[in-house]
Parts: sequence; C-alpha cells; structure tokens
Amino acid sequence: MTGISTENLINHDGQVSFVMLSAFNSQDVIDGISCSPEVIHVCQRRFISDLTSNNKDHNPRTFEDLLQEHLTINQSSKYIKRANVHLADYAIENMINWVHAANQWANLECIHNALFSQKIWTPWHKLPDDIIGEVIKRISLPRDFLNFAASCKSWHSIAQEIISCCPYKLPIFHIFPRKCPLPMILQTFNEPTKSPCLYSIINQKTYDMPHLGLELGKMWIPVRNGWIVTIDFKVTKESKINLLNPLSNSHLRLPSCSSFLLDPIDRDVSRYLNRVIVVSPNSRFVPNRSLVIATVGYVGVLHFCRIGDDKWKYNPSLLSFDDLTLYKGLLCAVTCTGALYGIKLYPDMNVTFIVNAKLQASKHYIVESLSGELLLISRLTGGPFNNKTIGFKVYQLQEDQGKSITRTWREIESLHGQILFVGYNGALCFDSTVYHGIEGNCVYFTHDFGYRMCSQGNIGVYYMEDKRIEYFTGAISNAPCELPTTWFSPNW
Amino acid sequence: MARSSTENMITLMSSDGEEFMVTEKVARECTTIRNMLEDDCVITNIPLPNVTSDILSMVIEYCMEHVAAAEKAAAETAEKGSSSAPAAAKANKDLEEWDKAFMNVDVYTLCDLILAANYLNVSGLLDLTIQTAANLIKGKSPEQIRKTFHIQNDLSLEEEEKIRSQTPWAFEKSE
Repeated sequence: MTGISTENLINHDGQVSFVMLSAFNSQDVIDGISCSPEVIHVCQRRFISDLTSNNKDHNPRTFEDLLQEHLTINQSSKYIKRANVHLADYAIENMINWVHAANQWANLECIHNALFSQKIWTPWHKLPDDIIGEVIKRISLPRDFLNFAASCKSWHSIAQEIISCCPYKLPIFHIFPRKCPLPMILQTFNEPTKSPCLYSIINQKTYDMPHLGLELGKMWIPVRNGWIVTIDFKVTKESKINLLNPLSNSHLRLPSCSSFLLDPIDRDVSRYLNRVIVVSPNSRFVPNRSLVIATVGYVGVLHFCRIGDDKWKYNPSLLSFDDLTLYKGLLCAVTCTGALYGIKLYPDMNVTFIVNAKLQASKHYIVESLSGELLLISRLTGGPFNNKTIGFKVYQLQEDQGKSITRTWREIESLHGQILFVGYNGALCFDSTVYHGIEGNCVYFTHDFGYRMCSQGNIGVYYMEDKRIEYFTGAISNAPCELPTTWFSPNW
Repeated sequence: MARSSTENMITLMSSDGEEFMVTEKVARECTTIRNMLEDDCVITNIPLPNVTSDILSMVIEYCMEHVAAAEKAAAETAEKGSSSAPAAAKANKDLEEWDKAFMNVDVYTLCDLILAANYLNVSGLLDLTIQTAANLIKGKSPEQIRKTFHIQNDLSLEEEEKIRSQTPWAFEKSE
C-alpha cells in the first residue's frame, strides 16, 4: 500500500482505524509518517524521553516483530476499552515511537511500559464545558475569541453561550477584553420612556443600551468598573444622587444636592455635578468603603463624601477644578489654568501644590498614561462663538532634579499607541494595539460642560500625528447639546 | 520554619497505585483533600483514582513550592515584625517565575493538570493552568488552534463560512 496519509488513518471521530493500520506493513507506516509533517508534530517529547531512557536494556528485535506485537496489543479489547478515545493520539505517537524504536532496537517491554503504564491522556475536546468556559473567559482579544470559537463545534457552542451572558448586545469588538472593552459614547435622554444608546467609534453605529434596571430620564455618569452615577437632568436642591452598578444590581445612595456649596452664579446652571471619581482604599473596587470626590457647580468646588454619609463635605478654598484623577495614590486635581494640586486622601486631606501653569484651554483633563506618566490634555476651542473643538495639546508631567525638584508640564507630540478619550466624565487612556480597527495616537472627544458647547463640532477624533480633526456626523452629532454624552466601557 | 517531626504525614495514592507521602500542610493545599481531612481527621491514606502518578507528582511539586513560599514569607514577617515591601515583591516575582517555568509542559500534560487541579480543587494551579491554556490561543488562527490542541475540525464548510462572514476581520492571516 502506498500513499497513506493521516487523513486515511483517522476516521471521523479522530480515532485511528486499527484494522486499517494492521493491513499496512511497516514501510507504509514509515511512508505515512514521512509524508505527513502533522504526525511528526504530534510527537510527544515526554514519550520519546521515556523510550530513550529505558533503552539501556536491549533485546533486539526487528521492526516488523515490534509492529506486529504492538498491533496485537492495540487490538486487544482490554486496551481499547480502557483507552478508547485516547487511542487516536496514542496511535499517532505509537507510529513515531515505532520508528524511533526500530532505529534504536528498543526493547519491546520498554515501549510497552511507556505506552500502557496507565499514562492515559485526555484529549482537549473532552475537557468539561465549564473548564473550557473558564479558558474562554481569560481570552482577552476579540480576534482570539472568534478564532477559538471557529475551531470546533463544541467550543463554538460554549463561546456562544458565554457571549449570550453578556448583558450588552453589541458587536464583539466592543465587549472584549471583558474587563476593559473599548469605550463607547453613552447618550442619555431627558425622557422617561427613551432608552439611552451607545455609539460605536469603530463602525459609527448606534445601539440601544439596555437600561438594566436603571431609571430612565436621568443623567448617567459612568464612573469606573461599570458603576454609574445617576442624577436628575434638571437638578434642584432636593435632587438625589445614586451610585449604581447595573450588572451586580447594587444600589448606593450618595448625599443629596442640598449639602452642595453653590455660588450664586450656579442658580442658572442646570447641572451641579461635574467630575465624579470614586476612590477605594485598595486597588479592588469596594464601593461601601469608598470615598467619592466630585467637582461641583460652575466654579468647580471640590466635594467629598463617604458612602453612607448624609452630607457632602467641602473645602471652600479648593475650587476652580476642571478634572480629577488618582495618580500614584494621590488625588490630583487640575485647575482651569492647568495648575496641578495633589491631595493626600489618607489620613488628612493634606493639599500640596505640584505644578504652576497658565495654559489657555477650554477644558483641561488629566489621566495616567499606560507607562505611568501623568498626562494633561488641553482642549482648544474656536469658531465664531468659541464653542467648537478645534484641537488638543497634550503635556506630560516633567520632574527636573536640581537643587530642588521642579515640576512642569512638557508638551508631547505623540501618544504612540495610546488612545485618549475625553468628555464629560473625564479622561481615559487605552492601548490601541489591543483593539482591532482603531488607530493609536489620537484623542477621541465628546462634549463637556463649563462653557456653551453644542454637539456639532464637539464629538469626534483628533489625530496627533497630522493635527487633523474629524467630527462625527449622523445621529450622534445631533445629540441635544444640553445633555452631556459620556464615555462608557461596557465591561461585564 | 523548621519542620517539626510530629507533623502529620498523609499518603496520597495515584490511580496507578503509586504512593506519595506529603505533609498535611501540603495536602491541605488541595481543597478536596482538606475537606476530606476535616470530615475525618484520622484519615492518613487517600486514594485519588482520577489522577495518574506523573500528574500527581506535579501537583504535589506545585503545592510544596507554594507552601514553602508562604512559610518563608510568614517567617520573614515574624522576624522583622512587618514584611518589607520590596522583599515581598521579590518573593512574589520569584514564585511567578517558578510558576512560569513549571508551566513549560506539552498540551497533553497541561490538559491533565487542569483536570487534576479541578478535581483536587487547587485554585492557584487551576488558575495558572487555565491562564496558560488561554495564552496558547493568543494570535492563532482556528487551524493553528486545532493543531495546538490536536482537535479535529468538525465544522462543515458552510458553518465555518457562516462564522467567518459574521466577522470577516477576525480571520485575517496572522503574521
């Protein structure tokens, strides 16, 4: 017999037909091996080492003898019953080992021991579904997920089941990696019947966001890890503020607006709450031990509360802040001129001045880069009413070691592979290489408050490389300007 | 920490009849065994019919390494009153390196280790092996995944085409 290949040897269930095998003579088996690199590929390192290490004791036989005996063994019902599904893999390995054995005049006893001393391997497709499910959950990239799902039927159905558990019915590239999917623009509506929607920056499509038990007709401000702050659109002194996690169905009440320190000017401002961040004592997010920090009102006074407090606390001298972020255990706050303050949250709220700056911008954002640097992003506006975003400048916190340490903002020209997202809920920094179909080195923006900003001309992307700006068109550009859009990561 | 001679020894017996003597502390790393010991504290000989000797010896090796690392950390804390952060970080890194080297196995061994870790309920090892399996998938095409895990493609051409058409970009050739 000539021209055998692995396909001939393996039947539909992946088992080797031993009857067929037994019809071949040794030369055919060797031919089969040499013409099929896949078979060689399957060869087990450990197996070979077992054989070679046991080979000292020799009792030369011909390869034909060896093969004959092996086929007798393999066909015996005892082994077939015991090994059953493992036989496919064995058989392929056996062939390799027969060749090795033939080459080395191995002792049949050794091979026999190596093969059948109950070293029975489980093939991967026989792993229980829940274990495969755990493997899938640890795949971070959507591409890997899909490739895995397309490798066989049972893995495909497990993958589909996992996807069906995702509460967000979104394209796969927006729900992977599960812990940090690419942010989408969240738009809420001031109507108690209208569901919020999510806009994809990859395919420019809008998807209904399931309200997941959240109250409609409220403003949703995504905070972190899927937590959302909700507040009335038309804020009054009595407006309640909640911190919710729709996925875990957790619901925490923050102090109401009545304890905010408000400037007379704020009477005209319908929105009190600007940035909100939640800080946990350790890296894991434990909401009921967390500290909530917010900038409030037109003048951006810093407010603090702990979950369970009935009043907000504030320091009237800490004001005019544009943005907040946590950086190296310190709460950093940037003012409207780009000056940076550091606030030690534990134990005493000690405030230190870090950088003095007089930078012109409509809004400043701060965020930690992927490499652990603090970035300042200045949003520049122009146009007849100075209400259109025309570009961004990005700075990095620079420390100069002299007689004393001086810190400044140094402008940077490139973000490399990073993507920044800025908007009403602050700034986020992502690694573009993780996601498919998105360029790095750019700033995605959606509108923000602090000045009269309409949606048109304030939702889009700015490319750092050629300083080019692109505004999104379509439904999202017609979002009512008095309702903020935010960045939302649909993690699950 | 010196091992006291009175420390309880437990004999674990693999499916192929090999016996492994381990300290109770090491055995307790396996939640399944810990539960057995808690139900019946005089038990000293535990047969494990689902685990072969070569896999069991690897599980024990893993448990011993992790018990030793934990003991070392505890001893250092006791000595200095508090653990120094850089030393703890280094110890963690060493253990990570050890885990990484430990995971340098073929896919068959990996598969059996996952099953054993699952059966014996060694959460750290289960986590490590499953993560290793997930890493093996990274950047591979469906065909490469099948080759890696030696699984048969049982999807019909139409089915495969359907999956591909839903997400065309997912099947670009990987470099």
